[in-house]
Amino acid sequence: MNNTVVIAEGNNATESLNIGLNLLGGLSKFLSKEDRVLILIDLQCPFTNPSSINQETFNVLLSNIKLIGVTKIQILPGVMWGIDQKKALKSLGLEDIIQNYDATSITYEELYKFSAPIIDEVTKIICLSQIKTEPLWKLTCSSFLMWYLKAPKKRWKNISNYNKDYEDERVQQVFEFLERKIPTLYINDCYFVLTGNGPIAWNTTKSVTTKKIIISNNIMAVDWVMYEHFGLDPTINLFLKKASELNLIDKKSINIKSEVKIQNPSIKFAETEPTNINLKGLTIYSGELNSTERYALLQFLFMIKNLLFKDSSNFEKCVIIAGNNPPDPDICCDIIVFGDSAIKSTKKYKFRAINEKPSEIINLMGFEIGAGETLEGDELEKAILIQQRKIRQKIEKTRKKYSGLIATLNNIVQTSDVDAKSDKEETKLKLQMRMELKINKYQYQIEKLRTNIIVKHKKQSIKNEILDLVLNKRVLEIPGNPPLGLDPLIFLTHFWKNKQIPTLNLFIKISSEYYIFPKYNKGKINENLRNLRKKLKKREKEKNRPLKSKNKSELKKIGHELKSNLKNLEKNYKKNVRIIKKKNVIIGDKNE
Amino acid sequence: MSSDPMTEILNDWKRILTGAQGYTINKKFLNLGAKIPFISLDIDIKSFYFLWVDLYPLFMNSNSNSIELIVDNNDKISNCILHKSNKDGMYIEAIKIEVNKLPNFSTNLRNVNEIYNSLQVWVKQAYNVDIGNIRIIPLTMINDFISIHEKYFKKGINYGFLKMIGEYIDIIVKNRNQQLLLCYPPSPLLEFLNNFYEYFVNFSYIDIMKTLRSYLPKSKMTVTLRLKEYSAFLSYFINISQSRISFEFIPIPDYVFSKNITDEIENNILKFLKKDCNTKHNLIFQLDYITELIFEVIQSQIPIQKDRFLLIEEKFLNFYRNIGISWDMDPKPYIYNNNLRFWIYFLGFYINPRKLSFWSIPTLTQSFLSMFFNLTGDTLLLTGKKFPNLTNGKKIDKLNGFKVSLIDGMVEKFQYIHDSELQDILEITRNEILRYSKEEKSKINRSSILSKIRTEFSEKIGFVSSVVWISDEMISKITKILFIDFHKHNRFSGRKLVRILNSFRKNRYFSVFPENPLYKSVKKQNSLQFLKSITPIFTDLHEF
Repeated sequence: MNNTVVIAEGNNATESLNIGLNLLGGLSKFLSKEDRVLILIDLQCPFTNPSSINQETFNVLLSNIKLIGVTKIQILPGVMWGIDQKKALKSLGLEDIIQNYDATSITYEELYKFSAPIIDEVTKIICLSQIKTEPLWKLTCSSFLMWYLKAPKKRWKNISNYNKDYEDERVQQVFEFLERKIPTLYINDCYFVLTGNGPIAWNTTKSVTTKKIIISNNIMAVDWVMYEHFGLDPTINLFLKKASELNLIDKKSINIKSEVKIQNPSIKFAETEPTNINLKGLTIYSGELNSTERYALLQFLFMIKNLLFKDSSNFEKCVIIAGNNPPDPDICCDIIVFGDSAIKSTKKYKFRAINEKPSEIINLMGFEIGAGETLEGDELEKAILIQQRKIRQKIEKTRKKYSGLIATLNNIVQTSDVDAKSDKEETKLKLQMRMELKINKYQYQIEKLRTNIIVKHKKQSIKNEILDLVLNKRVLEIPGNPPLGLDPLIFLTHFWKNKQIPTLNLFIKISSEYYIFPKYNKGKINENLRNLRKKLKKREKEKNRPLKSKNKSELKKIGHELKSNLKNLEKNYKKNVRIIKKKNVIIGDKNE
Repeated sequence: MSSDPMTEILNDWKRILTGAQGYTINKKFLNLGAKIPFISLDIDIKSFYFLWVDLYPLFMNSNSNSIELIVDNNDKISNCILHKSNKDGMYIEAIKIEVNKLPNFSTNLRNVNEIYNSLQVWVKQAYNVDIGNIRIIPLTMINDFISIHEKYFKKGINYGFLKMIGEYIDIIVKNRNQQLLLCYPPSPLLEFLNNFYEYFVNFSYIDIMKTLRSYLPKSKMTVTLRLKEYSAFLSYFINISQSRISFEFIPIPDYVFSKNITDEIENNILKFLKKDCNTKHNLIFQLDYITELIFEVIQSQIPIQKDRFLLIEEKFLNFYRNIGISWDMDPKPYIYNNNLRFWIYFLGFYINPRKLSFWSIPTLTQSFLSMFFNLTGDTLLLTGKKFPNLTNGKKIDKLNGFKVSLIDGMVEKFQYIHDSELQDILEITRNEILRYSKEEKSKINRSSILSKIRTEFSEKIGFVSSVVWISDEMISKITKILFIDFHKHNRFSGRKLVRILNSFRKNRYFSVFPENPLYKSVKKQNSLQFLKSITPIFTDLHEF
C-alpha cells in the first residue's frame, strides 16, 4: 500500500469514499481488530461543510471502521485557536454520529494528559482533512491538518515566545509527527471544496463540487498528487518543498489509482496580499511583515471584510497598521494597530498624539470667546476686514444720515431773514461737526480693532509654538504576537459604539457559543492609556521647556507694543477731536 | 347565456377584441366589462387592454402579431388562427386560417423556428401581416384547461383559485416537457416555469399552491394595480377566508379622477376603496415595477447562481422600501410616522421600513445561514401540525418531509418525501425509543428525537446533515405577522416582530438538530433584546 494514491469519484461522498477504500484494497488492509484508532478531523471553524469536514464522509468512514471492529475509536477535532472542541462537535451534530458508532471524542488535554497520554496508546491514525483554499498552504491538505494535532497553546508557543518563523514551525511539526512513525491513513476530502478566502469571509467564498476523495497512507504522496490534480505546483506547499529538497519524495514510485470522469471546476484561491483586500473606507498600512504576522493579518482582514460589510457604512475611514515600521497614517481616522511589532514600532509615531484643537471662536452677544485659528498675511487681512465690516457700515450710515440732513437744509427755500440764514448755517456746521466727530470715533475704533486682532494672532502663534498634545483616542491597539483566532474582534467591539457595529456584535454573541473569547481587561487598558498619557506629557514638557522662557519675553514685548500703539491711537483720536472742534469754532466765528 | 365554458371564454375574448378594436379606431374605451379568459375574473376592457400590453412580453417576448397552430393528438394541425395586433401590441382581430390553405411544412412540428420562418413569409404574402411570434398548442392542453376551468367553476365562483392556477401551470409544464407546447421566440415565463420545475422532486406546482393556500392568513383587502396609463387602475376586493379566496372587481368611478394632479389620484383611489369596501388594508402597486421584478426572476438561469439570487433579493427589498413610489398603502402603519419612529429610535429600536438596508440584508442573511445552518449538503425539513411525539405508542400525526439539497447556499433540489417512507422512519425511531429504559427515556427531548430521525433517515433514504422542524402554525403566524399585522394601522405593529422571534424560541414551533450556535443564541436571548440588537443590521442608520 505504500506510495499508492487513490483518486476516487462518486455520486455522493459515501460512494466516493467507498470506491477509494476499495481501490486501496479495503480499510481492513490498514486496520485490524487490535488497533486503537485516532481520527483527526478538520474542524478549524465549526461552520458547516465545506468549512469543516463533510459529515457524510465522516459517517461512512466510521461505519467502515466499525465493520472491522477495532478496539477503540477516538476522535480528535482539530480546531483553531480559542475554539472549544466539545462545543464545536456538538454544534455540528458530530457528537451524535460519534456515539452512533461507539466512538469517543477526545480533547487536546486528554490526548496529551501528563499521567497517561492517549497519543501513546494510539496504534493507527486516520487524518480526515477537508479541502479548502487557504493563503499559506493554498489547499488545506493532510500536511496542513497535521498542525492541528498539537494543542493550540503548544502550536503557538515557539512563535509567540521565541519569534520563530510560522512557516518553518508548521513544516517542522509535520516532520516531528512523521518521526513518531505511527501508521496513518490520509484522506483528502475534496468532494466539496471551499474556495476563496476561507470560512469566515463568506461574501468571497464559493463551495464547488469536484466529487473526489484522494487517499493514501503516504502524506507526501497524497498531498503531491492532490496539488498536481488541482493544477498546482506541489512545491508551493512548504512541507512538500522541504521534503523534495531533502529527496524524501520519489515521484516515480507514486502509484496513482484513479477513477476520474469529470474535470475539476476552476478554483479561486485565497488572497495572499493584505493590501489587495478591499473594504469600503479601509486602508492598510503594512510595514515589514514576517510570515506569522502576514498570516494573522490576512485572517483578520478576511474576518472583518465579511463582518464589517454593513457596519463599515456606519463609520467613516479606518486604517489598519501592521508589521514592523509601517508608514505613519493620516490622523483624522480610526487607526487599528495590529500586533505587537506594529505597536512597538509605532510608539513614537505622529498619529499617536494630536494637537489639542484651538477652540472655535464663539460670538456671544458681541463678545468673542475662544482663540480660533492663527492667521497670517492675506488671511489675516481678510479676517480683519470682516471684523471691521460693521464699523465701516456705521461710517457709511453716519455719512449718509448727516449728508442727507445738510442737503435738506440746503433745499429749504431761501429767506431774506438774516437770523434765519445764520441759524441755518449754524445748524449745518453743527451737523458737519457731529458727523466728523462720529466718523473720527469710528476710524479710531477701526484702527484699534486692527491693532488688537494683529496682536491677538501674534500672541496665538507664539503660544502655538508650545506643544499641547493629547493622546489620539481614535487609536486601537490589538496586542498579540500575533493576535490569534477571533480574539481581535473583542477589541473592536470596545473601540466602536454598539450602534456602529451591530453585525460584529451579533457574530460575537453567536460565536461565544463555541469560542472562548479573551476577557477584555478594561482596567489594564486604561492603565496603559494613563501611562501613555503621562509619557506624552513628559515628552511635551521637555520639548516645551526651552521654548517657554523665550516665548514669555516675546509675549511681554508684544504686550508693551500693544499698549504703546493703543496709546498713540487714542492720542491721535483726541487730537483729531480737538482739531475738528477748533475748525468748527473758527468757521462759526467767521460766519458771525 | 350559454353554459358551455368554451363558448363563454370565446364570447369574453370576442368582447375584449371588440373593445380593443374600438379603442384603436376611436381612441376611446367603451364602458364594457368582460371576464379574463380561463380565470374568469371580472375586468373592464380598458384595464384588460393595458394589462395585456404590459404583461404580454412576459408570455411571448414582445408585443406583436402572432399565429397560433392547434395540433391534435395525431400531430396534425387542426386549427390555425392569426392574431392581428394594433400599434400597442394588443390583439384586435382573430383571423381563422383554413388549415388546407397553409403551406406544406417539410419539417417536423417540433422545429418551431423553421415553421415560424416559413409561415412568416407566407402570412406576409397572403395577409400582409408581419408575425412576431408563433405558438403551437396541443388540443389536449386546451381541453385540459377547459375541464379544469369547468371543475373549479362548477363548485362556485372563486373556488380553489390558487389550486386552479397550480393545475394550469402543471398542464403547461407537462406539455412543455413533452415538446407539445411550443413557442417561438421562446416564452420567458413558460421557459422559467419549466426550468424551475427541475428543482422539484415528487411534487408539482399544484402542491405549492395548496401549501401556499394553507398558510394564507384570513384577511380582507383591496389590491389595485396602476397600469402604465395614468388613468388606468385595476382594483379588486380580495377576501381570503378559510374556504375560498374571492375576488371582486371594483370599478373606480370617474369623480375620483376629477382632480388632475396625478400624485393625488392614487390617494383618492385608496381613500375611495377604503370607504367603499370598508377594509383596513388597501394596497396599490405600480405594474411596471412588478413586471420589472418578474422579468428579473424569470430571466435568471436555472439553477440560479448565488450572485443572481442576492441581486433579486436586493431588488425585492428595494421595491418594498420604496413605499410611495413602487407601491403604497392606506392607512399606513404608524411605523411610517416620523414622530412615533423618533420615540422608537429613542428606545433603541432602529425600525424603519423606508431605510431598509436592501443592499446588505441578502448578503448578511445568506452568510449567517450558510455559516451555521447549511452551506453545502442535505437538510431534512419537517412540517406538520404537531411535533411527532415518539415517546408513546399513540398514532403519529401526519408530517410533510422535504429533503433540501444545497450547494453553496443555494437550493439545488427540493425533494418531497413520500408519506409512507417518512412514516416508516418515524415508526422505526419510535420503536427504538420505546425500547429505552425509563432513565434513558427521561433524557429524550425534541433535539434528540430529531437526531434519531436524522440517523434513521440517513440510513434509509440518504445522508442529511441537519433536521429542521417547523410547525404549520408557525409558518401561518409568520406570514400573518409579516404581511398583515406588521402593516396594520396600529401603534404596536412593530412589536409584532418580537412574536416572530419568540416563536423561533419555542420548541413546539421550531426545532433544529444539530442545535447550531445561531439557533442557540436566538433561544437564549430575550426576544425584545435580540430584536433591538439586530434591527441596526437591517436598517441604514442615517436618519434624523
